[in-house]
Amino acid sequence: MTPATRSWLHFATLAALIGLIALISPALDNPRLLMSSLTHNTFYDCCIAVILAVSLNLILGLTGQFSLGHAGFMAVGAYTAAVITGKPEFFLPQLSFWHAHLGLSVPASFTCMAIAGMLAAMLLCAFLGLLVGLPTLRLRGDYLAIATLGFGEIVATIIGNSEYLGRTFGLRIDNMRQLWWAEGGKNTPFGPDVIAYNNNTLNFISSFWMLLAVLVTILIVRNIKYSTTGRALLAIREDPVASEAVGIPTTRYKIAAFVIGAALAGLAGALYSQYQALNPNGFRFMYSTMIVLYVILGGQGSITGSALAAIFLTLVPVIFQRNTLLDPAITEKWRMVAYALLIILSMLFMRHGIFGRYEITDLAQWLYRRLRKPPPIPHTSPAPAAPYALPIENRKSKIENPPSLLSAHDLSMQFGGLKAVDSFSLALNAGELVGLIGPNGAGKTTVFNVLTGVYRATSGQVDIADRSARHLRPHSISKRGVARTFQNIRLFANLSVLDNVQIAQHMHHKQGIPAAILRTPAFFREEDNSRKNALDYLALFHLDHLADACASSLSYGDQRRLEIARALATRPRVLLLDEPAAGMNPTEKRSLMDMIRSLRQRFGLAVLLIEHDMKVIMGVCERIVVLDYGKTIATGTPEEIRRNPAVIAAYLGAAAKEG
Amino acid sequence: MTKRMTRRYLLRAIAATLMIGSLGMLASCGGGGGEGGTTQASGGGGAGGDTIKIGSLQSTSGDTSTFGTSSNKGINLAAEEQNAKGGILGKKIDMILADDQSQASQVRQAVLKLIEQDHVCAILGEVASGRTAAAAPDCQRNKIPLLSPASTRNDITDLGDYIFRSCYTDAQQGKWIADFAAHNLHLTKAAIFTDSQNPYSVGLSQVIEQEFPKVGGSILVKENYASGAQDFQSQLTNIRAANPQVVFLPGYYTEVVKILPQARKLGLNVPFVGGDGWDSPTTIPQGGDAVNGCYFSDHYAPDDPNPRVQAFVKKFQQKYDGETPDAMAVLGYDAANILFAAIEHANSTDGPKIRDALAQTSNFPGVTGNITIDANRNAQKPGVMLEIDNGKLKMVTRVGENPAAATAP
Amino acid sequence: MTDLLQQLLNGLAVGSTYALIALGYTMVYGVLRLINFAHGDVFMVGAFIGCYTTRFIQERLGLTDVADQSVTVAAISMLAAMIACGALGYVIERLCYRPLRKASRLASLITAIGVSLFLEYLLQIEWHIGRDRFFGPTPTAVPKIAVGHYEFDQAIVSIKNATGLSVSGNDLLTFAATLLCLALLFYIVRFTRTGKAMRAVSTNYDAARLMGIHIDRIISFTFVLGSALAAVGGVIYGFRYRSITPLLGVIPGLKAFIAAVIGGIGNIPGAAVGGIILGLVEAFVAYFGWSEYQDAAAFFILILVLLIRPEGIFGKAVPEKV
Repeated sequence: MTPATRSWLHFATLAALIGLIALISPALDNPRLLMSSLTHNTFYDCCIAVILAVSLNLILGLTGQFSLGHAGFMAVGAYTAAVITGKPEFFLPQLSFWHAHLGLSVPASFTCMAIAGMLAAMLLCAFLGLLVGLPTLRLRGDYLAIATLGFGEIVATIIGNSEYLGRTFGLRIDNMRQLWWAEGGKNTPFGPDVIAYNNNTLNFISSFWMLLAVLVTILIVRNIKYSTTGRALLAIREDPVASEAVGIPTTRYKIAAFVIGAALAGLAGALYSQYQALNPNGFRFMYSTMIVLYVILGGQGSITGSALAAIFLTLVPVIFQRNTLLDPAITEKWRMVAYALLIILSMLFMRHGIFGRYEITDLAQWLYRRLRKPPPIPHTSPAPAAPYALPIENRKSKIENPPSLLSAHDLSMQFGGLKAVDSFSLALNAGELVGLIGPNGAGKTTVFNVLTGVYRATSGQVDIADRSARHLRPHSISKRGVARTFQNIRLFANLSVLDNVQIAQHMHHKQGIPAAILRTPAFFREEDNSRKNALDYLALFHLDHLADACASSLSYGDQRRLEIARALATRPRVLLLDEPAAGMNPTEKRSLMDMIRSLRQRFGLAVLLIEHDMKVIMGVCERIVVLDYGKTIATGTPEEIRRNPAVIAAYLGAAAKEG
Repeated sequence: MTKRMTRRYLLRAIAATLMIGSLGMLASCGGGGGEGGTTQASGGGGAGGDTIKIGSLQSTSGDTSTFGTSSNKGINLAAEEQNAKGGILGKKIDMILADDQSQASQVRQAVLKLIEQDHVCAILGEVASGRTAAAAPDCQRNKIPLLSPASTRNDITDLGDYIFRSCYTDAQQGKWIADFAAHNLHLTKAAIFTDSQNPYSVGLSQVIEQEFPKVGGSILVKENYASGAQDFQSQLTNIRAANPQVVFLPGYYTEVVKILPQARKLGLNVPFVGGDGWDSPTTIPQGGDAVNGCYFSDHYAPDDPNPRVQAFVKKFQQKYDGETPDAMAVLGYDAANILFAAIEHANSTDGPKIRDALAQTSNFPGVTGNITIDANRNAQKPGVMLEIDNGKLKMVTRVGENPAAATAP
Repeated sequence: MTDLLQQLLNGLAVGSTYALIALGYTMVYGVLRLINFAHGDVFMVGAFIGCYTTRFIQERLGLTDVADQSVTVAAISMLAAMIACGALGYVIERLCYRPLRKASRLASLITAIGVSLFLEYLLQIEWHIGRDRFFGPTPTAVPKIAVGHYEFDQAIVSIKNATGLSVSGNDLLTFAATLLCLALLFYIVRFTRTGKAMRAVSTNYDAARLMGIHIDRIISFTFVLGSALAAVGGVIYGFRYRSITPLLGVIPGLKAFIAAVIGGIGNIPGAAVGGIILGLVEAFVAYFGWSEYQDAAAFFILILVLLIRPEGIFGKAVPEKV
């Protein structure tokens, strides 16, 4: 299928679903047909719970950010919509517009208001999400938990202290209109219409809009999940440091996910306000925890799981209430204890929830694949030139003989009293392969961390292609063409091999969240390209047959190779390899070194290599820098280094000097 | 490793199956419960069998479970008595309890359950004004009378012509408190200390603030606190600085018992005057010495020598293991009896007819005094002012009584 | 002026309570990098155990209001609460946190919330033994304890007469306990072998293990110590406010966390200073007539600190290990 066809297909499926909803919702809303208003009320409660669960899943499940204020956003949304549809100073002007001016019926006008309320609620929540997210999401995860918890409490406190919002007496929109009518509204032109509508309508929002909101929420989160953005979010959840290293601006993505999640919680609140009584105390910490429970029980990252858990946990108390067998005073108390236990037990024994991050569609796909014959592994030749042609040529044309790709000048890094790196200087030129050696604790990895922005240097200068890079975040440095691997392998362990490489192409993707949600043809085209490129990179390291395997299931050597492939997929000019051959046997080491040399040749890379094995490094590097206690004690060709007495002393200790 | 993996997947599979399976089960029995009754939901429920079904909407679990539980005890006592007398219209009363977990968001579920699943002909409840308001629209739409035993907020009965109450309002109570301070205690310089998160407290404060100047008093300072707070010394220090003769504290007992000891500690030894929110079996034991010399308005006094009161207290103690009935219990008892009388009077279990009969209630001899439902569906009835004197509740005076009723036993 | 000073004193007293809880919070965080949400609830359990022990001694053993005996009763209650909460802390760590030590921080954080809710809701269930009610959502009254001797009370009265400031024995007790716990904790962490081991574990887990430190034992000790400290706070809190509920730990727990962040989380003196600062801020918020926003103010300060100086006043910005 071409990308355009798939885009159309997506659109058509969506249209069909909306059509279906439109078809069945009148039947759902008729209390004499399918559901009594009691059941209907529960049905709406379930829909709200699903929206909340799925939207929190975007934040907690996919991105791994712990928000404890989801109910707070819901409260903001609920009160916004309640004010817009329940306060006469807001609904009267709208009524005169929709009803008198445009000629819509009163119920239709109120539906329009409810939609306006939803939009306003989403906007306000998105804004507040930004406000809360900006200061906290750049910090460690724990702070977000506390700050969002605080946000929820502040929202409840402010509403509780506001006469306009009914304090803890609460609001219910039917009552608001009724009171207005009783206090003189009956004499206004719209009075009788409003009260007739108010008294004869069971729920001020029809099932159509409710189900549409559920559909839109699921659609947004699902489409984000299976896109460049979704992979980036999962990568952040897996390993924020490695995500930055492959060029993902983690803070920006976390904020984006948080803001979208907050807006959807606002939508849930707006819908909720149209049929339920609001009370600020109902939106406190406990409700937020409840939503967290939906996600962790159902599956962190699983839309299906969290939605099912939400419905399940919403129905349990209803059933208790409807059956008179059990004393509600007792079941209610034990129910909360049981929920708390459920949180603890699911964390202890089922950390990713019942569904993990899998969906019901994944199950279908898996079955489909099982039933069909296994698809042939696309066999690509180990040295495909095509996919690299474009990016590499681009790079080359830009960097026509630059003085140095990466240079450090007088770089120092101090941890408390310890100077881990002391006046480190280095210039890396295109095509060069430089070794960085030194005894354990000499500061080699710290040099890498400073060069790639993980640590901010205490003093000194880092330039990438002659532009200062000292204050850049790791993802910007990655964007400037410096890629790295880690000493202790930091793959996205729970994601597939293919995902690992696709994530690394992140900064070369142009289709953002809107395109992902809308599934434009360009989005599908980019996905295809990204997948093809990723497979090519994998083929380069003979890993393509493992594309669908989980990264953590790979052998140690394959993991090392995959990490290099991932670094390469960012299309760097400079590659920093931190002990890539650690744990390999001599044969493997030799072939890896050959590989590195050929890569450097092919892509015109500058490589900085940390390695312990002197034989390896002497054989492969043109130039070697030796560190000891953070100081550069020697630089030069392998031959010079081998003869340098300071190096010998550092490696063999004082005994060598004496002997 | 594979064994562990298998076990883990097995665990997940079992959990998923359990969840989905019970979901199906729940959905099917949940769906079944509510059907059928919808067609006759409006109006004449409850008459079908040989019982008369009446709903009791209460918070028997959650934050204010003590209110709901007490209220329900009073209601059940009334129903039991009535059934012993042969019920109403020759049928036994079937009181059906619906718990809302003290949460506004659960009220609708509970009300709809009573109306559509249990087919009640009228509902008694809720105690808290906010939840009575949350229950109002669905009762109004289904033409099921809702009689609140204890919601004192002024505008509750404006929510529809099926919404009644059988207790006094904050407007009445606030006036009594202001009058009492000025005329009985002869104190005119006052401070108001309000629970800003509690609409009851805010509403009552507003009334006191309006009424007190009318009887010659002046409000020197207004301070706020939040429900659930523990330390009030900062605000009390501000109050102490204004040097008032009396402090109005229209809050709930939960904070009152914490505020007063702290006030005494700071040397604020003036009397505090509050409303019926002070009524609780725990006020005196917890408040200790600090609550002595304080006053509050209430619905009745258990030590009232009035034979009606004493008879009720005795019956209640017999049924509930010697427990002294609090205000919620007696209000529940009165409300239930008013409703029974109305159904009897209407000679029907039809919602609109019960509504009309309720509206005509006049001089009903309740335990808390003679109760008349006025044109706004509010109760006209007396209250009492109590003093905490040396660890004992003492009735100081009756308030809001019309002279004619005062003489009646 | 007297009023301002009185507010200052009020703030100091409330702040000491926050500081006392924050000490345990910050210590556990320092060693484990875990926000122990259940800390506030252990504090609550401490208050209940202190209350019931006192009640038991007073009612069953007939030791009532004599001042000398009151001190003994208070000390025994405190000790009982410390032992029970220490055990509770050990159990929580052993059953809930230890299995998750290798998992993501998110997992332990969620578990901590679960533990917190579990304690809160379990204790909201009433138990009846004979005519006595135990736990349950309605406030439980704490028996009165006359702290100190006659001379001590006289001294307080004379302060009141001379300056117009009122200080209660409980205020002084809270303040003294905070200082004592701070000193004790500081001593343990700085000058004992166990303290050294705790610091080693907090700096580098694996290295500490390689150095022969029994990690599990050190972490258990940290939890037991932190929980015992929470119990001290809880018992004093009970005596001070004389009315306790299963939810009483929630807000003080959160405030204590904010205090710890203000001081620099993981930093022991910082937690104490943060607590006092928070108490003073709240007192002044009330002084200017915004008392209903006291809680909101605390969270506002938290967000402010996170914006301006996330590492807190005394904390050092420690880069994440890569």
